[in-house]
Amino acid sequence: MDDTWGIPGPTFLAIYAALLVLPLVIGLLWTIAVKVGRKTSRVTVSGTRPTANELAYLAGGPDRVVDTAIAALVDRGTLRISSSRKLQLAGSEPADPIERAVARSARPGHNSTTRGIRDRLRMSGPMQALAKDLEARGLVVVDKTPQIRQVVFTLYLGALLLGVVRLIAGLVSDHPVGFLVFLVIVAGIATLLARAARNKRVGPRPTSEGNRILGHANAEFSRERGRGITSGPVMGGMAGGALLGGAAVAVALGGLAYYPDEELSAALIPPPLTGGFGGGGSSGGSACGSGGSSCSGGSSCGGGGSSCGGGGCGG
Amino acid sequence: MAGAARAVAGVAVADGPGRLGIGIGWRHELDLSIARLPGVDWVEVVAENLHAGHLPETLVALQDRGIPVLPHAVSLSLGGAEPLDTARVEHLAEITRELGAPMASDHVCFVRAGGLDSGHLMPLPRTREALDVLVDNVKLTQSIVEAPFALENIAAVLEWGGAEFSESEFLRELTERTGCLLIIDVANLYANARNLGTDPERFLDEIPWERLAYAHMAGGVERDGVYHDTHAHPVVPEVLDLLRELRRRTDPPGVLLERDDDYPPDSELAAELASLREAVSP
Repeated sequence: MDDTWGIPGPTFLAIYAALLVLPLVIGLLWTIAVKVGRKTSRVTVSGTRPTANELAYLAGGPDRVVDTAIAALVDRGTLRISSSRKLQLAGSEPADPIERAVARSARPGHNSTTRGIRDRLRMSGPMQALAKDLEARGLVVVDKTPQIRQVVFTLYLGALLLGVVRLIAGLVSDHPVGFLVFLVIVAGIATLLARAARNKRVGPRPTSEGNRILGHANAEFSRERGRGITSGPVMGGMAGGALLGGAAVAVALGGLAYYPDEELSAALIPPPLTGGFGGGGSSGGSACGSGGSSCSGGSSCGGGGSSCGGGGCGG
Repeated sequence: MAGAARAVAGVAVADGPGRLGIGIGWRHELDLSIARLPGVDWVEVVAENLHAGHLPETLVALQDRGIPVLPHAVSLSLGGAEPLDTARVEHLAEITRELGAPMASDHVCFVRAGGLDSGHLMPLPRTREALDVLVDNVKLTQSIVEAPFALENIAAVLEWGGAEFSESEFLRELTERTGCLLIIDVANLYANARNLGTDPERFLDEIPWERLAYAHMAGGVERDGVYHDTHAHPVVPEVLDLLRELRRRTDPPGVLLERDDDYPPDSELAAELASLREAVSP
């Protein structure tokens, strides 16, 4: 009886077992290499005070940056929020690139809820420019992990397919396949685990220097809050009382729940997604009917759905 | 004229809404802003945008703060030749009741004819026949809406021939025969003066000011020599001047800013409200 593909069974099993260990080894070595490379290429941080958007990126990533820009614009009167949770542009476009992108998203005809604008800006040019700048200054690491996990997953998938094909070939030619079946099952489990790891979302992370700056800002902010500077709901346009930068910094560090006007804060925070199944249920619709309750009046309601831009949605 | 005289004698003359002050047209898009604007004494809300039993929370919150909310209808078509759509009047009555409003209102116009909805407030021919129809419809409306009822002058896109009254005479006859109140839209008055060549000062001289409920103010824009009453632009200085002219003749119980589109920042709305207050202050 000839060997399948001219490779004797025991030899193939040895090679195949090695193939199953290889992706894991590659993944580990790559991760270590990235870590080592990062240590040697650390950039010294310039002494400039971080902006609200930079703090937001360190504290909560791109979505927090969008929330912070929205807070700054609402506070300045450039954006208006209504109880329908829709944001509208009310003034001239601001100069800051991220604020400008947010303001443009709030022009009529866009899905201008907080969630809609987050979805649209997550992968936008200004957001990537901010991430690059922070990375160049050594404050965040734009993680290689997703890329590494993708490669590991692809390798395991390849090994699984190879094993299955060999198994079929072996069965057809009446070769014993007991050990191979076991290894193919192992390959299947490894592939599933690698896929799960790949699907885990990993954003850019602050470096220890980034965390130090963030901690410093948090401490300063808590001190100001302790002195009562930012406490209590404040009338619109006057929320920027805090020394550190008012509504924008409060939201940068604490999220939209920290917007100094409670009613506006409640309208700005996206409602929880209901019935989102299988990762598809992003944005849209949900905003309607809340707050405003009167279901008439055209404009504010309806439409919905739509806008799952920028690749931010779903799994 | 004997019939008309009897009608005058039998008319119950409605009380005005009392001192209102400076107000703004309540819109869903502006609801959180209006709650935060300085200098808003009262609001007016388009009745057709509300559902009885389901008033918007933010509007109820204003009421809870003691801010009067007055309903304003746009679809009764009181000057229309067709029978009055009493379901629309019933709705206005219900909203007025629910808001606890001191009065309700619509316009001197028709919006439907021959089963079609024009989508605009169309001017009436100022003839005795048209006035009779309007008076009958207003009286029927007054019998359904329990609160005092007011009518507003509109910006005419055209003028019918064969007018038997000037606009002010028409409005005076209307108030005398129905006992209704008046809302004088100063921007509409300016639009008619600018586009149709009417004399706004004469109009202001002839209006029965004791019937005034409040004044409307709105912005617009002039394009190709035609003034458009857009409600989407700032109030132009000429309209503000006309409000001052009005103030020389009477102390209006209320002045309302209408803004329906291209909403400016809160600070600009606040500044417009302040300029209205300044124009009518003694």
